[in-house]
Amino acid sequence: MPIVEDPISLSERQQVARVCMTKLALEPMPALVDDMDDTVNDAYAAWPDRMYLVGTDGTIAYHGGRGPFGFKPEELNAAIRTELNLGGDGLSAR
Amino acid sequence: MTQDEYDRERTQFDRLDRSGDGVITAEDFARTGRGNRMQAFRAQRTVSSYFQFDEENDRLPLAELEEAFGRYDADGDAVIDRGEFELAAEERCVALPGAERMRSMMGDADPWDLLIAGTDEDGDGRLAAAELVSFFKARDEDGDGIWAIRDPSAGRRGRRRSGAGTARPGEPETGPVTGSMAPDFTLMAPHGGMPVTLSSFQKNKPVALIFGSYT
Repeated sequence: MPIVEDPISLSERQQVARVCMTKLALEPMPALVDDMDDTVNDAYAAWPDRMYLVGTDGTIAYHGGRGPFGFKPEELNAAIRTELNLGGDGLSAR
Repeated sequence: MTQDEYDRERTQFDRLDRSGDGVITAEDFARTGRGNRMQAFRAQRTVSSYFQFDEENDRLPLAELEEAFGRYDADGDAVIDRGEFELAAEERCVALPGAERMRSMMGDADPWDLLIAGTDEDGDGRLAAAELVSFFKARDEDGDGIWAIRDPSAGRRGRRRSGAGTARPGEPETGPVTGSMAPDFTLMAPHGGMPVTLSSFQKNKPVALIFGSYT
């Protein structure tokens, strides 16, 4: 059972990310890997998980809560629909 | 343990032999402070997902945790083994949004293994009520008997992460909020290639940022 060890270099972290994308069937969603200083993670207070929506003007259109309790995909879904001026809750049509 | 006794590849041995003296000892494992914190975090996340039945509630009080333990403990002996856990988890999975979400985030990591790795004090491979309570209290930083998003983290050495849904002392509870400029960044993709910059990515569409961790 693969509990993944902490990567100690960027290339290791990239390798873990590739495994993650495959195992969680996330491809072809674009993915990026933070630098080993966790710069972006810190800028977005992201750990362990969190979601944001960035509008076309570069401002935050939605900021989610910190996971696991605050990680709510339905909120992001609603924010996306609002940002794209779509109606309804989007849950019936995928 | 020497390299000869450790039958995996050289690279694995070298990584575990953090003191670099050619022998893996308990000391080497003690050095992986971050690894231990990750292990505890994973266990806490597993507990949060599988032992909380009220999805709308962003808090897990100890009393609720103990009650949840009782639901898993089929034979009432105050100890949960893998069988009891998997049986009850499977029965309840549809009604456990946290568990579903956790499976989607943790991939094929076995929840029972994650749970035991962080909580099994006596090493018997089973989860005793006392062990779970002890684990809860150790992660309940403000000691109010509740796991909540806003539990401040106690002082930890080095840069590190605290339990599920908590921030380090002095670290803001939230990142950039709605209306503020999204901090720009340039990062590498898992497969390598050209770095990607947020501000020049998909300029005509909103961009969703989904942060997660696989370790």
